[in-house]
Amino acid sequence: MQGFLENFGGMSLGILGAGLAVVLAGIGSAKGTGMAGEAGAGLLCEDPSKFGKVMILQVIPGTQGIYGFVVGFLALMFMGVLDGTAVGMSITEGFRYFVACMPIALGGWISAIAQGRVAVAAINILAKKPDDWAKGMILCITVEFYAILSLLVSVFILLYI
Amino acid sequence: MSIVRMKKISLIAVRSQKDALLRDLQSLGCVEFSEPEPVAEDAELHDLIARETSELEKYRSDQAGLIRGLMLLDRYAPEKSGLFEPRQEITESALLDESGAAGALALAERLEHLDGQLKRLSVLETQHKSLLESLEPWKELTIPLDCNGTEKTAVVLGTLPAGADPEAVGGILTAAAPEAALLAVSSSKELHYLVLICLKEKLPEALDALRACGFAPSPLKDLVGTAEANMEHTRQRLQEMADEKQELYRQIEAEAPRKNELKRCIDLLAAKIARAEAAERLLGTERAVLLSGWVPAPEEPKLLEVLSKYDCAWSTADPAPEEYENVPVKLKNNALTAPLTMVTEMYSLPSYDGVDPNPLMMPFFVLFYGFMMADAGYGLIMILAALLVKRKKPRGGAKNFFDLLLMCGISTLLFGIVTGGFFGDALKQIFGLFGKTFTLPYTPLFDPLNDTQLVLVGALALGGFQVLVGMAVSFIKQTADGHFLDALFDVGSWWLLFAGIALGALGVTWWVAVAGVAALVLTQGRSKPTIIGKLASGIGSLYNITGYFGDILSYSRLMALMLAGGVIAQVFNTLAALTGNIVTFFLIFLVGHALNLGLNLLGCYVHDLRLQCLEFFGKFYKDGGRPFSPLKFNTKYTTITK
Repeated sequence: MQGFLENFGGMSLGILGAGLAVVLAGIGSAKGTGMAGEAGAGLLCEDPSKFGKVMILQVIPGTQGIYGFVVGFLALMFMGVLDGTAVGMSITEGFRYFVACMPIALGGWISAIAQGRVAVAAINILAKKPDDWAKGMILCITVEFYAILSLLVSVFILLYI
Repeated sequence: MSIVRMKKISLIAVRSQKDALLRDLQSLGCVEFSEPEPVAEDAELHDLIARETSELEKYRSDQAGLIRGLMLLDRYAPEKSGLFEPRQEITESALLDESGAAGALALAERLEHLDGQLKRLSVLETQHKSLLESLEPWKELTIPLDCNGTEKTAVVLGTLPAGADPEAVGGILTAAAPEAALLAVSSSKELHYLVLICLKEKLPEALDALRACGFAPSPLKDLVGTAEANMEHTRQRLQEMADEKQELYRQIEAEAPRKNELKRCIDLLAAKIARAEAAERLLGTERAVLLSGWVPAPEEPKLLEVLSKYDCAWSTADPAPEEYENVPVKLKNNALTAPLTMVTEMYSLPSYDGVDPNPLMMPFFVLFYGFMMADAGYGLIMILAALLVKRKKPRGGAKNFFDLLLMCGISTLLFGIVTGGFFGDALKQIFGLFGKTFTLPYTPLFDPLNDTQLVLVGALALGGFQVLVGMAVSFIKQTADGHFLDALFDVGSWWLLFAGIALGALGVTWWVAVAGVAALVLTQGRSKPTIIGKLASGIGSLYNITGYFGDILSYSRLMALMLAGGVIAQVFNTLAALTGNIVTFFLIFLVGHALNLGLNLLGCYVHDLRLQCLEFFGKFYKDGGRPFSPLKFNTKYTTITK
């Protein structure tokens, strides 16, 4: 047991963090794009010609999943999982990678759901006032900023610890 | 590059020339018609003057019919067309030529009639299809469907639930009516289809017994002959209807070449509607009409030249300051600042006595955009896309959009060169694929990921500069309006404080900052009536320091977006290079960068917009202007060539 923890404990923690960054941010994005997609499908029943705009609004909450993936990938790369040098990583170091992944995991998760709600509302704008749909898009992007901040802090921790 | 000076115009013309005058004014496109003032209270005048009427409603309904016709053509005979198809060009006299209008209206009517027939056929088709479905289970039945028995026997068609056992039901039936027979015709997943034959006098007993088992009579009304024959007939009818529909489709499609005729007529009616709307804003007497409205001062000579051809009297005057809120606003811009109208309009136009923000905002908007994107590759794509679309001569909002894209693309390209970013670190990765190392032929000024603090300080410094410019504009504007002391107190005190903080931080002296605080406390409450009130709001105003602090910190988003875009680009490049193969590299590269580019284009625009509208405009902008909307040609499908 002691030997296992020494050889793989740090790496496991790091990989757990990378996984959570991808999965939690992904869950958020899946929920966000899911909500927006449902609302969009309702609108498309009435007016299929709005597909392009509906799709843009739907994919906006999808970016958090990408951010999570970016951080997860960077973490795996820096840990050396991709070239097999991660074995034997100390627990302290593994825990650092775990912590580095948390900002985007949590920030991405929750901001994507919040953004999905705004996207649903923006699809309402698109249905009722089609000329003003760009304003709905702007409201969506406002939420995006906090996911970007989470992404940056995760990357900073990865780069500078 | 400013807000155009407007003049108020009042004009009286003779009624017989009204239509010609309106047409000339529309061609000129520089007069906005105001809502007329309420007709004088004087009862005598009241009877003489009335608002003009027009055939506006008729034009609108005609136009709506044409638009429906065009939509039908688009639906049944769709044409492949690009997003920025150039419009058909037409001269003004050709557009206003009414000779083709009757034909276009008749065409629209015909199209609607054909569409009505198609809809009717579709309904019939559905009815026949459901009939076919309901006949399907009785296909095997050889008794005619209209047969309800012989002299002594009754015949009843009906169904039993699939769960019922026909033999058990048969037993129950025999007990109630010994001579009755239940013949199975067919079965589906839900139901058994059966025929009950029994003596007429025993029918009630037989039905009662069967109902208890779930039997439901299902008569097929109004059908003569066997199910098979009926189905054959229905199929034939369906075929006929399909042919008929094909024929109707063909007839609609045959009209597709006349689309342009419809479009031209829609634009003709749009011109007539605009004129009618203007005419309804006139006041008229028996012989004369009265116009009141606005004309931009630089266009006045042109207008007067046109008016001199008519028998009319007019006067123009500058608006009085108390009228400013009613004066329409027109921005005069050059090629460099016009694209920013997009941003200004999304926020709100400046009021007539405000400042045109476009020239002030232009350098900042473009600079910030480049700062946030900062990638030579993305910049090149933006420039190429803008140039490609501009070749098709987009107009209005689309033209502004692509001009802005071009300017921001150039700025993005320049920042990309400065930071050494070309699709992130694509060159390094591609060279790495072939086992070589890539070095830029020059040293980038800074590298966002390694000089993060420098980028952050740079972003905040740019922000601080923009905030100061905003305050300077406010200072100049207030001074020009004759409120020099207000400008000095409201802006000057803050500058004194900022300078003081800077000096203090540099270790020179804190006394200037103290003087700034004192100036704020003493001046910011000057509008309050009591001494205590003055002091209280003076001290309260110091709280605004957090506002300035927050405004400048907000510019840290410039750094955040620059770095985020760069990091994502690099991750996609690394991921692509992991495959070790140039083909898969480019596949992943394309998808990844398309995503990142789209995301950044939108994100940078929105955050740039926010910085301008909130942090910058907040310092000097007075909004609430009403856009100038003169009587002109507002064509949708055609471009008028003189």
